[in-house]
Amino acid sequence: MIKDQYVVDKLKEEDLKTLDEVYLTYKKEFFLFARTFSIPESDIGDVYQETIISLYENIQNKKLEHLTSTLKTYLFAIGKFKIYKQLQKNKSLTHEGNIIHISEEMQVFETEAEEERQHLIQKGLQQLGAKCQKVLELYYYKGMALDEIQTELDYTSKDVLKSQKSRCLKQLKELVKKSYE
Amino acid sequence: MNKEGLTEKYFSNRLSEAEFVKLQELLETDAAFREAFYSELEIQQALAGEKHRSLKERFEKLEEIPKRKNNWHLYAAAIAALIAIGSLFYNTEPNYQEVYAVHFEPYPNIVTPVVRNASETPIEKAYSYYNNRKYKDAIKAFEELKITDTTGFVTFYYAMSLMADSQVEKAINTLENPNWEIPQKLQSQTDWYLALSYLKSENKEKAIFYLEKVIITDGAMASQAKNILLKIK
Repeated sequence: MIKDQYVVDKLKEEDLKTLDEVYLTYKKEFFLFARTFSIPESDIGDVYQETIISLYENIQNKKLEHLTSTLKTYLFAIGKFKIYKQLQKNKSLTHEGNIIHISEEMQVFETEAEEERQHLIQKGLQQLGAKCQKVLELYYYKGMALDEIQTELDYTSKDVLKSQKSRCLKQLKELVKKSYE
Repeated sequence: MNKEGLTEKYFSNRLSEAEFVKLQELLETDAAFREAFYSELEIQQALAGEKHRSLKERFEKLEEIPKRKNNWHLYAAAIAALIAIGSLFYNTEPNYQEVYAVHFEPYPNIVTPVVRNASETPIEKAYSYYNNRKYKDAIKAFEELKITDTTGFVTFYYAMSLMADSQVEKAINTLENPNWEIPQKLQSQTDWYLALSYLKSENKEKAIFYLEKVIITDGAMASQAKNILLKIK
């Protein structure tokens, strides 16, 4: 556990060598674990990569700061959610035919992230102004709260930032919509 | 706490357990809220997807086995020469297993370049197993693709994977299957690998038959075939 927490702390410092080690350490065991579900063998590699990336992101965006279990248990809990996502076995919600996967254990919601759609959103994001890009990245990827972003980007008030953010979202929505036309 | 506050807390990972439950309930009951939240999740995942690319590439590199050079026939020729010289001194009955072991090298992948990405097609996946010497996985993948393959290459690499996995009998059946139309480019190679397979199964007569074919077509393996022939005849 102490060693595991050390690994988490190293990952927080964006130490990618440590991430490599984590990747290699649990790989074999993860494959054995994944095979106990009826997931196609060829998907396991991708699921494992996504699992490791989720771990890394959870640490970066402060979702995980202090382990309350071993690193392995934590990692495999993420992995199980990803496997269940493939097998459509998670608790879920549907919105107009779109699925939101829910993990109560990890307190996570995830969409199906269909590739084409994701690509269009990414394109839309690139077309946004630099300010918008920054705000959205800090909010949705870095997991920063609005007051933190306000300080980081020197906004005069939280309300200014809030309306900026909703303008960005609206713009993005229009850009994505336009690319469908 | 209002909806907006819950959403913000979700994305900054500050929800308590009770709040998470509350958020779930709202999503179940409030369609407009669900719609807005869904598109925010999508944005989050699109952003993450961008960032993931470099990490995925990093993992791929980690997986990569040091690549072997593609001059397989040069290696094989050098080894064959050594054996030929050796056999001048030790004029013993050849050990077929050994001859096979030193000569067999899976034919390099000349079909798909080595790329791995999320949108990998089944055929790319199969070749990627092959490249990474995961022959058992490659066998499974090629076996399925073989049914619909029209180029003939899949069958060849299926047989290669079988041989690499020491299933020579099955490889022979595959390469000798009359329904398989051998690609022109692979004719001589096919004879060569059949010769090797028969060596491994210690069928001298058939091995000689195919070795002679290799020699006649004067392919890359002709000189090696000559050497082997000298030894076993």
